[in-house]
Amino acid sequence: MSDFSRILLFLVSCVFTQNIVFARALGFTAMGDERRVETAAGYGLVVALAMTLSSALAWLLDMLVLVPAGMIHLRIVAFALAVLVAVWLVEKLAVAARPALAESLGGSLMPVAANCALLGIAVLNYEAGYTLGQAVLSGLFGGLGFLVAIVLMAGVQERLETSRIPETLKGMPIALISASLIALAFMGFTGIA
Amino acid sequence: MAEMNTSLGARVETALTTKNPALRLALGACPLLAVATRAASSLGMGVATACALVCAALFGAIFGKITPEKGRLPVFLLICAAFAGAAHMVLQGWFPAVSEGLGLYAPMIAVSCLFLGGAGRIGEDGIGKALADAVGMGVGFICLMTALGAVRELIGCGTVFGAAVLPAGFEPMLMLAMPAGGFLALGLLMGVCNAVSGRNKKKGASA
Repeated sequence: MSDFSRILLFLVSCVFTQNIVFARALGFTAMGDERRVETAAGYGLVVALAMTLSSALAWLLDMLVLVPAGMIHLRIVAFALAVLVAVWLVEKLAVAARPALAESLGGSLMPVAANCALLGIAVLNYEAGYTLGQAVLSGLFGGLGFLVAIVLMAGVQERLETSRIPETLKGMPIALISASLIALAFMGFTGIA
Repeated sequence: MAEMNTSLGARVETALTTKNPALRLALGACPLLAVATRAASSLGMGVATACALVCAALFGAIFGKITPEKGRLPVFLLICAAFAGAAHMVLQGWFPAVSEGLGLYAPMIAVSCLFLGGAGRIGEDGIGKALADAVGMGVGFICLMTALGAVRELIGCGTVFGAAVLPAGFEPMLMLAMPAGGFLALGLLMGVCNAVSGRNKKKGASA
C-alpha cells in the first residue's frame, strides 16, 4: 500500500470509525453549550489546530525530556502542560489572524484547554507508540473528527430549539441522548477502515 | 466555631444536592464515560476522582489567591493533572483491576476534577469553603459514577457488582457497554435527577 492511501485510510479511521467524540467518548464536554453551526465550526477549527500542536508538543516533551530524564511518572502533568502551551499559541494566532473568530468564541480561548479530547489524543498517541509524524497526523485527523462531531451536534441542537422537549430533559440530557443516537449512526462506519 | 461548622456542613450539603451540581457532575462524568461500564470499577474511579478533587481544591484555593484571574484555569488544570497522576499511581499500585479498567483514560481524571472543581470560580472562596464544596461534589460524583456503572452493567451484561441479578434468559444489550450507551445512560440519569429535584422544588414552594 502506498503512503498516500495509508494516510487516507488513517484519515477515514480517525474521522469516522474511531471518531474521538462518538467512538471514544472524549471531548463531549464542549458540546453541552448551545451553539450555532458557524460558531461550532470556529470552535472545532481552534480545537483541531490546538490538537495538532499539542500532539507534537506532547510527543517532543515525552521523547526529549521525560524519557531521557526518567520522569515518565510525570506524563499526565507534562501532557497537560503541552495542551496549555498549544492552546495559548493558538489563542495568540487567532487573535492576530482572525480577531473576529476569537471574539465570537468569547475572547479567551483558554477554556479550550479543558477539553478532554486534547489531553486524550496526546495519551492515545503515546499508547499507540506513534512516531512524531504519525502523532501530528493523528492530532490533525482527530481534530477534524472533533470538528465533524461538534458541527453535527450544533446542527442537531439548532433543530432541538424548535422542538418540544420534556422539561426535565432540556439542555444537557437531550444533548447527551442526541449524541448517543449519532454515536449509534457512526457505528455503521465500522469496518470501512 | 459551632456556627462555622454548620455553615461548612450546609455547604457540603448544597454542593451535594442543589446548586446546579447536576450539570457539573455530568460535565465531570463525560471524560470517564467510555470506561464507566461496570459498577465496581466505576466506584473505584469515582473514589479516585473525588480524592484527587479534594486535594486539588485545597491547592487550588491556596494558589488561586496568588494567581491573576486569567492564569487560574491553567494553574488549576496543572494541579488537577498532578493529583490525577498521583491517583493513577495509587490505583496502579494497590487496585490494579481498577487501573486496568481505566486504561488510557486515567489522565481524564484531571479533566473531571477541573469541571467538578468549577474551574472558573477557583480562588474566589476561602480554603474551608473550597474544601467543603469539593467534598460535596466528590461524594455526588461517586454516587453518579456508581449509578451509571451499575445501570450500564445491569443492562449491558445482566450483572451488578459482578453478581448475576437478571434471569439466565436475559439477552444483554451490548450497546450499553459502548460510548453510545454511555451517552444515553448519562442523559437519562440526568433527566431523572432533574425530575426529582424539580418535584422537591415544587414541594418546597407549596409548603
